[in-house]
Amino acid sequence: MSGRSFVVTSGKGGVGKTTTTANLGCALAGLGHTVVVVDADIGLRNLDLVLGLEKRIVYDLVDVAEGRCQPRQALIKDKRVDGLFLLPAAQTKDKEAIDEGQMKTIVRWLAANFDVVLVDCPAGIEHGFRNAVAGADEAIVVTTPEVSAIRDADRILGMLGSRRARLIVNRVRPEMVKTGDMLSVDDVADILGREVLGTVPDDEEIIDTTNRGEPVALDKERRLAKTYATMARRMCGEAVELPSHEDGIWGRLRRLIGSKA
Amino acid sequence: MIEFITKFFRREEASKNLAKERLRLVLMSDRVSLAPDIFETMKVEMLDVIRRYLEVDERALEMRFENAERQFLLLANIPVRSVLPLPRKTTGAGQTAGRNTNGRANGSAISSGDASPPAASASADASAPAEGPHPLPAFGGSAPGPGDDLSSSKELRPAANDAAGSAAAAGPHQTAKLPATVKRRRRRRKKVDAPVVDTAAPSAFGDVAEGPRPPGGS
Ligand SMILES: Nc1ncnc2c1ncn2[C@@H]1O[C@H](COP(=O)(O)OP(=O)(O)O)[C@@H](O)[C@H]1O
Ligand SMILES: [Mg+2]
Repeated sequence: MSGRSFVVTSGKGGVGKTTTTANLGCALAGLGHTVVVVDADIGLRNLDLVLGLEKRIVYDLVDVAEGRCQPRQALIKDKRVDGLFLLPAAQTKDKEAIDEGQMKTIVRWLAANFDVVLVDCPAGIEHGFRNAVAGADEAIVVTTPEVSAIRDADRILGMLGSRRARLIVNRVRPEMVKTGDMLSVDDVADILGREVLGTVPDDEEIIDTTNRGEPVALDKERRLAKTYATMARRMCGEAVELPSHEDGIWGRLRRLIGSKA
Repeated sequence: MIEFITKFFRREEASKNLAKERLRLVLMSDRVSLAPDIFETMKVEMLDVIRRYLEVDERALEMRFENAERQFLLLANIPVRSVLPLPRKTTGAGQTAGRNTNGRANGSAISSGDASPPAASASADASAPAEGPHPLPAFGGSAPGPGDDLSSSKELRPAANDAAGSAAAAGPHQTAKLPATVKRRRRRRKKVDAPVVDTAAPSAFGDVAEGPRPPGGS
């Protein structure tokens, strides 16, 4: 087994798992790795839309699990970046349509054939969560700097067994952190007692690029693309420092001007 | 900048600090309630230590966690049957020696650290509930029933009415041997402060089974 498999999870919904999975997938592929992003949110398929690949779906995860097609047939190749593939969720089935054993088999197969497998986990801690986690060797826990997301992240961390789990703190608002109205990334890391893989600011660009189905990480010139690229490098074991959104003077100025406009 | 200045003068507590404190407490209680087996083990280990010094009524023992105002408490209620003969060099068996000892107060090992005078008089005991048969050791989330939180301090004490009658004559397994042990029960609670289960690596709890709701999670 050559590749590494990660589950991107959070417990709480809406904190940015799908956005993170899509952008990390793009960033990893941009670094030259072969990557499959798997949408494990059966019945609430979304990763295809965030990636802008929704029109090209033929087969899905459940088709693979039930042997209606070969795993390769269900993979959608992203034409914008070499090496990125999507395995979409089934939209019409419910979460019980697949079990942990099947999921494990599929993710193992993918990991044997690609460098990195990222599994986008559904919200919650039930069946869908257990499926998504089943085949993954490592975990990326996405949270925001808010009490409910952090509590749920702690709960999830307790359910990941011995897997290595690192944090992505999403939707940080540096100006609020500065005034003490938002927990800082260090606070979050402290409370959860885990290593931080990366942090992403709360940024309109995410919404804009999601609207277009063009993940921000695809455009390497963008500031956020660099943010995701840094995380991707760290996932691959490179010792890259985290860029600090919290005290980048230019970032702050930019925001200040932006917010007054 | 103006924002910053107004924030500076607006002197309410930064909400981030509240968030931190609230999370600290709630995560401790979550972690405990989600890993009942681990604290069952801790209890067994604690008992092993206690047994070296005291003969306790293990059936009546109660230990649980409770969310208090700004603390997360480990509460233990351990009926002592007798204090084993101990080789003694210093006064008392231990830690609370300086506090409010009167000569026979060697119940201190388990003493609540309660500042009120021991008043080992029988009258104080009479007000204390008799040692009734307790429910089995309630632990972690598995314990506190519907009443949780505030009412629980009452739950911990068995009905006071039957105490009135029998307590003077000392409860069932409360043998008259050692008045000091009776005295201890005046406040029948041992409070141990939060750090017992601090925000230690959650991974320590491993793959936790689905546990019952957090205790006192209101
Ligand atoms: N860093 C960010 N800045 C701004 N909006 C974000 C950010 N991350 C996610 N969002 C938005 O938050 C919403 C939920 O994100 P999503 O990735 O779908 O969460 P999840 O998969 O965890 O439910 C989406 O509308 C997304 O565009
Ligand atoms: Mg999602």
